[in-house]
Amino acid sequence: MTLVPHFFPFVVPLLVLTAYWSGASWAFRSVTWFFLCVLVLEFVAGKDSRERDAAGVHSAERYVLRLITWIWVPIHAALITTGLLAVGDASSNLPAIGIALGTVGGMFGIPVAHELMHRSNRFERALAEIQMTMFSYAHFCIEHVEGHHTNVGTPRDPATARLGESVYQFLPRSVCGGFAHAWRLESARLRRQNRSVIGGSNRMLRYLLTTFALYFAIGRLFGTKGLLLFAVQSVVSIGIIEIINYVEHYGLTRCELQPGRYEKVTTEHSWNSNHRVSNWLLFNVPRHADHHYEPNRAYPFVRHIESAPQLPAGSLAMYILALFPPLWRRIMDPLVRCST
Amino acid sequence: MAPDYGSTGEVFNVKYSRSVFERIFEFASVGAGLAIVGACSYAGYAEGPGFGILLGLVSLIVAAVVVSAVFIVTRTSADVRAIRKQVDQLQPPDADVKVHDQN
Repeated sequence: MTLVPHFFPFVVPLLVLTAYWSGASWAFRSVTWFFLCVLVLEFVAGKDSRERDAAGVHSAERYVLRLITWIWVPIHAALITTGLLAVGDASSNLPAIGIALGTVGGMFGIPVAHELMHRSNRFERALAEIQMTMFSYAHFCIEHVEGHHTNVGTPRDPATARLGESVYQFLPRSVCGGFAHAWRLESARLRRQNRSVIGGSNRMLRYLLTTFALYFAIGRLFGTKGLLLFAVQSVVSIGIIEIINYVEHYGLTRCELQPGRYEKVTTEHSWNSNHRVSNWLLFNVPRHADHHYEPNRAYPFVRHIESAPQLPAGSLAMYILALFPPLWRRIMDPLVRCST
Repeated sequence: MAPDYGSTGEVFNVKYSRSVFERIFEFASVGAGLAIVGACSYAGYAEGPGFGILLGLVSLIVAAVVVSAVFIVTRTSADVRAIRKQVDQLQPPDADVKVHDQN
């Protein structure tokens, strides 16, 4: 029974795939309706502060919990392929399919990739890279783990939103800054290992080449429409992951103890949300305070931290509010002032 | 009290001046938000390859309704109320002063 909520995100891709392949015209439209239902459900279902103790979980159950993240990757690939096939139909609406695919990718695919990129296992990290390549955002695997987790809450971190900064100011800063920072991190790693920055060992170059190869293959197989669809769904997914970044750290900063040296990352440096439905859907990403405190803790065991700054609503509602800076500031700025 | 970044308009109930540019940007950002949420709702009932003006308008209205509902419910949540109460207690009642540009 405790496993059931972790399968909740699979409802959407399976619904879309089943509907499309059985000839239903509403297949991709169902994504919007699903999220509208989730938004209502989130307010109705309330919060859940319970925690799962890893020691008390059977090894078979633990294996299933890991398997959930693995099987997401081929399912997501199947969903994108279905979209690419659907867009070839003259009666299809490319932007609508792109938004639907991008929303599923951003809301579910990226939390899965996020979970996998934090694992030490090479296979799981490779799965994260494959998943992120599907959003044309593979460098996130470097920037997030090696950059964001080290620099969160400091001016060095492009993925920490500053107090008063709107999501529209944050987005270009985080996307461009994140890419540049990932390149710097990778160059520094290669120099430490006495390797050439321009070469096969450079993960950034590998990601770029893989992404170009993927676009080339899609262009050849599905034509211009397929290429456009892939780009649109990538842009929507990237937008969503950056909105998640924006919400999770808005206005929270670490004290500078000495020039360039900051206090340790604590649970005070991320917003926590305990809303049941968001946590089911986003693989416990909204329990972000504990995630930054203990980044390697697997998603089913991420803890609720009562003392951490708490978001006033579920994550989905907060992501929508973030798109409206005056409303967002009206809710969040007093909370930030009270938390710092 | 100077803001850490940009202008928040209202921090601790302290109002400070905002440039015309900031006001225009804020207005445009609301339009952008409506367009994004509207596009998402449009994806929920768009049929065929074309774009219908009427459906576009309906999408914007749906977006406005959804965002208003989310804002009202979030603003009335117990957590926000509690924090606002704390903030009000921290702030003296006559703090409605105008702070000019720090430069």
